[in-house]
Amino acid sequence: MKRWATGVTELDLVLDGGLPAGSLVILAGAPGTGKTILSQQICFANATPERKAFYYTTFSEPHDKLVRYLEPFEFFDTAALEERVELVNLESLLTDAAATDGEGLAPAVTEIVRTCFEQRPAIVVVDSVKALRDFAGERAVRRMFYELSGRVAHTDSVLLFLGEYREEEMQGGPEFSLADGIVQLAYEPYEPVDRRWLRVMKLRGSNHLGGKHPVEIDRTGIRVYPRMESLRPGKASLGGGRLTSGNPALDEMLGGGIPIGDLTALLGPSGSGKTIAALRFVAQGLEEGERCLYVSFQEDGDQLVKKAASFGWDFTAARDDGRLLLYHLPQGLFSLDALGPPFATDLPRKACVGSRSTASPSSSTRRARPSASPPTPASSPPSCARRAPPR
Amino acid sequence: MKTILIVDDESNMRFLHRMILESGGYEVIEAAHGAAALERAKESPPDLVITDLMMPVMSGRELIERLRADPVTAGVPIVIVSANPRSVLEAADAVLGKPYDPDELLSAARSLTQDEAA
Repeated sequence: MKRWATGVTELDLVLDGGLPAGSLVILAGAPGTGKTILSQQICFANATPERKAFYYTTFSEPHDKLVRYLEPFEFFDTAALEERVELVNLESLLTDAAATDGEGLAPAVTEIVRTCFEQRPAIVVVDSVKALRDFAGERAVRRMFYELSGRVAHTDSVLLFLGEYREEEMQGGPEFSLADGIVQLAYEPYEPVDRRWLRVMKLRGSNHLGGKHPVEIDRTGIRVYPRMESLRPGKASLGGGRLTSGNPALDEMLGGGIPIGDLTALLGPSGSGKTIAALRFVAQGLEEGERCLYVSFQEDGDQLVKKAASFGWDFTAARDDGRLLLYHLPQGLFSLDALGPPFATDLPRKACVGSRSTASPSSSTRRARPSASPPTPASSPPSCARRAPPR
Repeated sequence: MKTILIVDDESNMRFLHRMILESGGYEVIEAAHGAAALERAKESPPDLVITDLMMPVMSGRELIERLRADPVTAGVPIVIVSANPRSVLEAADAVLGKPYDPDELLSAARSLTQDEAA
């Protein structure tokens, strides 16, 4: 099955390779969730002078305003408008439709289908499709989706429909049963910060990654962090053997060390020595020639290296040559899933069997709390939950 | 009174064009896309066409080509108003970016219609 890439590598991973050619996909979500940004990103990722992208607006926002707010994004190229990406307003055709008592979405459908067959665009976006409901009843909307999905399926274009749908609306509208794909974008409170996520609710003919995938918006556009557990399902290590913690007495209490392949949580109130115990564990690993990973939610890499040095453990060389990876995720900002891409890149290259990894949340509960910001290899923290060694 | 045909798929833009041009003493007629504009121009050639580029049914680029190809409308001056003002067409007589300064639009209209009084 031919697919169009989205321009967001991790989203393509979630979508099982991209958006299927000839499909009608709904991008649903409340205002401010990133639908316009993502759809424009997809347009610019695929559009060429030969295979343009058409961005149809209904009653969303004026084009000059749209351009003004999208220009700061790195993917957006104003000079490519018209040559590669066309911004077209369907307003006049929809006004005509209103005059024909709601049965007249036909001019808009004709315009879109004509464009798909004559111009052979890679991507066609309609923003917002929900506004069409102001001009037509349920029956007319169903017919429009039926005609569009049936006709555009004969081309290799992707129809991307944007809509400000609430979750409950997505359970019953005819557009959702007729669409080939549904991608939901959301923005929800997650004290003390808010979090964005994306979920593929439906994508026919695809083995997409389910669940909520954290999303971030920065100057590059939309960034998606596939849930880490969805990347390598069923690949957990069966373990075997034990690693020394660096503390002989603790090893003895544990029956010979920390079990390989297990996730071990190190719990305790602030100041009880969780970080030090974790640093000791890492120091021991480095001494034995292992590669180590330390994920911190509080102190950054430099602080951790400094703290380790104060106990006589010099991490500088190991950090420089890649034997020690330090990742800093500021607590409360983003999700652990943000570590997926760097893990996928760095671990196979730098880590090896027998390596040890440590995640340290900072609170005495040790429970990883998602938050935001791109994964920045950095620091070290206070306590820790130990993960199975990466292989 | 000189007549100007404004062509834009956004009603807000047509409203702004009309308001500015009427304040300058012009008669304004509207079309929401190239095909409607072509029809109106052939019926009664305007003194100036001000058109967007990216529109449904027929683009501004195609509209310009057709106006130029028809002896009846070939001599009508054309101004492009586009979100991407860098896409200058040789066939057009002037190009303005969106958003534009109202004085620029009036100035272009006066110049191209050679309308001293307006």
